[in-house]
Amino acid sequence: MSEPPDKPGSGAPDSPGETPRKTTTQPLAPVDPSEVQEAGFETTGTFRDTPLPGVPKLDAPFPPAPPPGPKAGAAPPAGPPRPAAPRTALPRPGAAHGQATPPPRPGQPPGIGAAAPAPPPVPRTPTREQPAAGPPRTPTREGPAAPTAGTRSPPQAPLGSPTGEFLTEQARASGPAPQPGVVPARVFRPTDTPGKPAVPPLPSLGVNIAPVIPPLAPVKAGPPRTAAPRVPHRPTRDPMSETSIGIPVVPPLPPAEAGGPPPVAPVVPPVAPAATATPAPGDPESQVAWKAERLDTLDYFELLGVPTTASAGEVKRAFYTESRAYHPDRFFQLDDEAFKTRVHEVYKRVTEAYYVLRDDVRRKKYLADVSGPDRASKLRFDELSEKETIAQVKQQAAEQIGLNPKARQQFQTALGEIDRGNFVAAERGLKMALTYEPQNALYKEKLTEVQARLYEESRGKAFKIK
Amino acid sequence: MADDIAIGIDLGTSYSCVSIVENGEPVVLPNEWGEVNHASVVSFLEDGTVLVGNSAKRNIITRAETTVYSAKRLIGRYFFSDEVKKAMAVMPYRIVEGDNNSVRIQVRDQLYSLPEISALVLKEMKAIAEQYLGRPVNKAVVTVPAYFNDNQRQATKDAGRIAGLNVLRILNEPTAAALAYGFGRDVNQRVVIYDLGGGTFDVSILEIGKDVFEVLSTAGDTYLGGDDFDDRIMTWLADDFLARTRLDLRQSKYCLQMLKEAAEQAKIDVGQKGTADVLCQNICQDASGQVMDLRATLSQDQFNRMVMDLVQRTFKVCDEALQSARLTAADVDAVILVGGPTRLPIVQNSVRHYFQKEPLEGINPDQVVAMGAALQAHALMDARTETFLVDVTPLSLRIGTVGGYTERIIEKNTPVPIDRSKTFTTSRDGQERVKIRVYQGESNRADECEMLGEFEFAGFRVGYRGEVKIEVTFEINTDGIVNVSAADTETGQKTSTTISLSSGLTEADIQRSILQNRQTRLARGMVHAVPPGTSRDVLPDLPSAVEG
Repeated sequence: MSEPPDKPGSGAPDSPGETPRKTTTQPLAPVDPSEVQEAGFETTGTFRDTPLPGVPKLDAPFPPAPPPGPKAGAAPPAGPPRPAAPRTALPRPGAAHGQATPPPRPGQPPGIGAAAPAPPPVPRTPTREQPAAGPPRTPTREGPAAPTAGTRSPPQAPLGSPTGEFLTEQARASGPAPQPGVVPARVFRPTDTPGKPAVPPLPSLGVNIAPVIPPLAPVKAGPPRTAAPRVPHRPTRDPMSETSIGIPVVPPLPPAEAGGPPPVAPVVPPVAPAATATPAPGDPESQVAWKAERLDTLDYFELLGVPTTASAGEVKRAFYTESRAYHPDRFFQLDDEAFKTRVHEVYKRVTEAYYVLRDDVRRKKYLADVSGPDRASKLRFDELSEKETIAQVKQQAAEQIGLNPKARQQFQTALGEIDRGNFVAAERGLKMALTYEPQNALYKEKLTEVQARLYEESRGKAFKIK
Repeated sequence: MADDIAIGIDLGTSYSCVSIVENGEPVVLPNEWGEVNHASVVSFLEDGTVLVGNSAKRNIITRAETTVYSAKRLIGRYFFSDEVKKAMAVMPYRIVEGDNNSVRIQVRDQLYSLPEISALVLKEMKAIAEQYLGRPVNKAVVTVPAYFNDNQRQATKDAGRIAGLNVLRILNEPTAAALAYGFGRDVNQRVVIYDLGGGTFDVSILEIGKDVFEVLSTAGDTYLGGDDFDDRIMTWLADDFLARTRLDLRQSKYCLQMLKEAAEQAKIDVGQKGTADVLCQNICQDASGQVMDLRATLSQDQFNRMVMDLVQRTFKVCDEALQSARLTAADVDAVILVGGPTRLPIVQNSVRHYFQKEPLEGINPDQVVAMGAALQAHALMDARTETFLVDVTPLSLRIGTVGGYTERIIEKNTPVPIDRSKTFTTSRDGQERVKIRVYQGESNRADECEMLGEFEFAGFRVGYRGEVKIEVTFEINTDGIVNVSAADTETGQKTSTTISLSSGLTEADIQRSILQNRQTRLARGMVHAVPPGTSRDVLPDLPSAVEG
């Protein structure tokens, strides 16, 4: 309402230094208007209809029931197993919204802040500037980084057209073959590290693990995937781990599609000797500990132990393998609560990885995210909210051919004229299109192009006359 | 070893089952009369004892006001919900409003919460198992419809606690059925579970890869079940009676019960024999005191026409599930039918037609869920058994935003357990607490979703507005139950979480209920059934519905 909701990400107050004395609608407003506009526009139909048919369905010989909609009233703390704390009354419940935009509604949570989907200080990796093992490592990591980036860009091609049916079909065809790609990830376990005690039992599920992780995770935002997480633990075997890990993550053979296991299979041999050096590959406790430590430094591909080019069938098989290893039910009868919490933590991330990688759209976006420069902050998939998705689709449509049908028609004709070499007509058409949609960048771009051609032509003509 | 056993309980809308694993095979346990399906009916007797099961079902008519049935339809719901309104119109027992829009059942002058009622059914199941095993049982896996929301699951879990059971897992009914089918069978298949129960309809699509049972998608309708089929027959009987006698049977709850029983029987008869004769003797008397009987004959054809739209509705849900799983009906390897109403020829034929596949034979639709629950309970207790269920959340998790809208946090059909975080900031200088409301549902409007609760966070750093960032983590665990926690992003300080609005019971309530449940004695046997004829003198007097 007060601001155009053009930029979806503008919700976060970008400058924390600025003291918010002005009564502008900074923190909340950017979210509200778009929310209201988008959603309100979409649901008017159902919104109007529902109250009517819903209630009087029954021939009600009974006293009128209270209207639907949760009553916001005096409510003692309820809900047993959830963490309960003594409830204190809010100082000024209604005073949260000093803004002019929406009138505060009685049932609305007063303290809710603007949801900041991507605030500048990224929550997951707040203090990654660890001096620990940073300096000497960086150059070595720079080496494999280049091929990594190189091989990672083409994975779309070998993926073919992985529609859900096709791939899951494949998955079934190839059966639940053991996923060799997973082995390196887990076998490569530095049990001799003091890492295990370094991770204290997490106080509760689902809490930010970031503060625990930093000492182990000197990954900077810059260099992309390598054996980075392992490096600090095995300084002596540095080159070795570089090579052996480099392979599973980025298989040098691009046609990974050819057959399920083959591309991953060659990975196992180089790791196997290493496994003999690191003891007890079958011990689930250390496996879990190993993975729990690295949870925030592994991307989803590494977590599932699949190459970035893995087919959906391979992803599924890897997920099944991981499920067999880390499913909380496997450890259900144990008494060690801290350990169970860690298993839970790991498995939640495994399901999350699977959720993202099994869907082509999400996977594509995620791959782009983790291949990019700020990989460290994008290891966890950040799903766009519905609102943002809609905005994005709209924007894309607008960018491509325009929103206004008349403008689109004019634009199409103009394109035809360009093909025919009739630039005067094309210019006219584009100008018409721009009158309908003055903001469209594509139209403008085409127009300048055409005008340049016209200018060239006129110069050419003038020259000829001379 | 004494506590090394866990039972599986199928807590159904109309019938419940209890099962254990013996020698690697699930066994459905009978009570002392050899019955394996126990009506989910609780009858409060005058002497303070409680009768549960099929003998209690006989009391629905004779002791209508003190006999509670179909409690599952009400569990975990708000008092203002449609389902509760509907129940108030047809149920003979008294439904009243409790604190926080909750639902309470009034029996004589005692108020019961829904978990307390369900706990009595669970207590009976526990007693049956204990009698069979000859030793105490205190662990159980309890099933719920896959489409149950968090409130309903939480309430079911509370019911288990009240009954003195440690609920190891809240398991989805279709998933349990798939487990019973695929357990130890080493299959790699995609199966559809078509679960039409007494009050709910669920469909789940699973991919079974040996020991991993992955739910690809689930969809359901918590307002569709065998009871709705009965309703149709009741309406038809009552309309028919009205047309012939000008008496509206629906005006008396007593007559409604007679009708309901007759309709249920007619439905079963039609399914088995192709035709049903309905006879309700002495159903009512007219203004002049003449006692009337209700007679009717229901043919298969008539019945099919009555319920066709209900059956069609189930396939809309199937469509939805297939679409979510990105499959077509042809991709399915097997169809498993669960629930009593799937015995009806019309349902079986329609399923066959829709999936172009013969539904699997040899599966008892009433017991398969309990067997799956027992298998899961066994797998959880036994470290050697390795079956891994990967279930999904049936509903999207949302948070309330400004203006009565919601924003999605976790999409439906996301595998669980899962967590997702979202960062919030303060909107005022010096703000000390932040509140969020959590919803479940598929609409972006808050009033079309189910509110799970309001969470209040405090104990974070106090600063200028927009400066303090609070990371809120939403977790859905393997039970499908939602947990919310929060931490200050910068300091990592965990904030306190208070639920300031919720439909559930407080811890104190539960403790009180546990005590009460422990003291309640279950009546054994049918001795309490009122001899036939005693209730005849309270025949309702129906006013003439239509005047001249």
